[in-house]
Amino acid sequence: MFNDPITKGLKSGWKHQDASRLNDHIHYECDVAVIGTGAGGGIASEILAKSGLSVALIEEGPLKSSTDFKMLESDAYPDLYQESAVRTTKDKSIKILQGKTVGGGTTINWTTSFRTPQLTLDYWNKHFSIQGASEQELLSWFEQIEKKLGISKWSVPPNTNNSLLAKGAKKLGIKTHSINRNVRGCFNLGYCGLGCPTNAKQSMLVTAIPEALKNGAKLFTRTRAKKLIFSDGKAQSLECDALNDNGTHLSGKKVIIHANLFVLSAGAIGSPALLLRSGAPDPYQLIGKRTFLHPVTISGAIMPNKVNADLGAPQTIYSDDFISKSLEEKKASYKLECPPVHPVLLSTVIGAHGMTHRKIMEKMSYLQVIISLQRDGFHPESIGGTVKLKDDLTPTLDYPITKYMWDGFKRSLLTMSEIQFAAGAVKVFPIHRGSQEYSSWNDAKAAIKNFPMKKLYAQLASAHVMGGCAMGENQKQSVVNSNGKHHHINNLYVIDGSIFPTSIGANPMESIATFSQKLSADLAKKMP
Amino acid sequence: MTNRRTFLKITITSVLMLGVLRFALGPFALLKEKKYLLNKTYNFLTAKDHLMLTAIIPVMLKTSIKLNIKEINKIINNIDITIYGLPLELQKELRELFTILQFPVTRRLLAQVWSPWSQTKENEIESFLNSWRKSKLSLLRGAYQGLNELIFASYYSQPESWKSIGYDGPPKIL
Repeated sequence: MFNDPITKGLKSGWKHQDASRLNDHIHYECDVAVIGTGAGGGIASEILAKSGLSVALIEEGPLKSSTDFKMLESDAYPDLYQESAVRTTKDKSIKILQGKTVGGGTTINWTTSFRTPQLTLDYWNKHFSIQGASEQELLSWFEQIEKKLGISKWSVPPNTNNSLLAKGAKKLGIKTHSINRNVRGCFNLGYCGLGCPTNAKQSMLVTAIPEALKNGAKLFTRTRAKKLIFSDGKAQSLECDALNDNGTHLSGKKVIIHANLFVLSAGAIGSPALLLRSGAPDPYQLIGKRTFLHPVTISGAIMPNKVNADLGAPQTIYSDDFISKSLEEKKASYKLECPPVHPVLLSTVIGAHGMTHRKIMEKMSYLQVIISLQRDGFHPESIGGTVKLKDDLTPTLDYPITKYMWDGFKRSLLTMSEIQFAAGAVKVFPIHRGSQEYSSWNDAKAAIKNFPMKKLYAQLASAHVMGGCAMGENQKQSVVNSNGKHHHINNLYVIDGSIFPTSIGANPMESIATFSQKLSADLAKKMP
Repeated sequence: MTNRRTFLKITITSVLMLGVLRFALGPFALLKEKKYLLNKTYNFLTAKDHLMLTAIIPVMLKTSIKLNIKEINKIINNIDITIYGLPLELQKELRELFTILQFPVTRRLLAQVWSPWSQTKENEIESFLNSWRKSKLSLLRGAYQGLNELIFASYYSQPESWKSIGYDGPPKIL
């Protein structure tokens, strides 16, 4: 079997409390409570624990590790994803894939690693007063994270799904590049999204979190952070609800964490929601605003030969030719990548039924699929969504879609179809309820131009949630300062994807980990 | 235009009516349904849900090989497990959707399904699914998405469904 650092570590005495097993309420005292265990909280807990502080790590999801990862969608979605992978925006128009397990999104992402694009940093520099976020100032931090997470060039040839993106693009004069991945000794299986069974993926689960636990941190799982208690301008404690063992119902037991410092790393929906529930000071009503998604459109193609897009590293080729090169974006920009194709993921995005649906399913091994990720937040008509609380105080994201964005989605469907025909597709079916299968680029082009662009017609999805607690020095624009410190509560930091003032314009894991590395190192130095 | 306005009016009226009826009959309706649950014990689904899903599933899936009742029951069982694992707010929404689809007045008005689910014809269900899929109301398009995802996820997560779509399952690594 593969070495599982988690099961081994637990045997050696790492501290873990699965809150679903609690028979009573508990109180726990520590120096720092880190809420969330993804790229933000994972790295923060490692650095703070190594600096000699006692750390509690709070995770809503379960502790699952390589021993549990069987590459089955039936296990992975309910176990490892928020809302069993059926989370959507408030009006249901965008599906949101988000991690809910120890390691957060890093446990289930597709290993795609990009530095924060220079243009994104330049845009922040121009429009948001953030200190220490120039490319030069971040360089050594990117390098540290790349070393820690094994982020490097992937030298194995791309799978057929990705190589067809490269092939079609090349024929049309569209440039593509290869994607760096955070893996060591990868078997090239292609099931990254269901949890890596071989621990090749250098997620938080096998990197930062074991380091934190080795250094005495205590991990609480099935523990939902409910509310921070403030008094005297400080966060005093964190009230959490223990969940039952399938994670849906509260068990009735409470976990109360008393700490000197609170680091909020619950992701771009979870972090704003916790601040809202806690009634954190918010004089300019900014908490939860400008939450971004990189909304995705999808195009499927039936190829003459087998593609087997379930096998092999899922994302290895991308194109940025449709991302604006100017700081003033004139129309919505998008990145092109490929997704893996697994039966549940595929069958639930098609948005049709009966024979139309079945015919596509029967061609599954011949399918080539491209996705476009719209870079939201770089234009006055692309201002993201707002995290709100439902009646039961769980969060929802209200994300309106503007004309400006719809135009980008339509252009992306055209781009992807054209590439797929250029790559030799027999048929192309843009994922849209007004769509059919098209046999030529001309037919597809004419049809797509007339697609009604409205919600729940075009199937939209997101795997990247960012923003909602923007950082910056201007208090009228931001929730936390450039160090991640809350503007009004001195012992409360936000360190995760929610501090970004726009979307990243690239898969965000490396950006989140890098900012966490930098902000957490600064924070550790400040602690007595 | 008149059509659309009338449709909207009917929709709003029926949704309101449903609210009142649910309030009035809610607890009793549930008790009654429990009696029909013979051997099956579900976490979420009721006997009426079972009948409704038994009718909808074959139309939604349309596999080339006709599903037998045992296979359909297994899909329904998976649906129950899936729903039980969802956040409570989502479970509440699904309960509302299923109630709308089962209460005769709303079933006729919103889904245009005239006979009870145990007696509906395939083409009637097909046109219900088609009309919700491209409904003018985004609420109904969203409800279609919900039903669609529940049924397909519960079917294609089963290894039995893989062979007929040419999927070999996850690679063997040991």
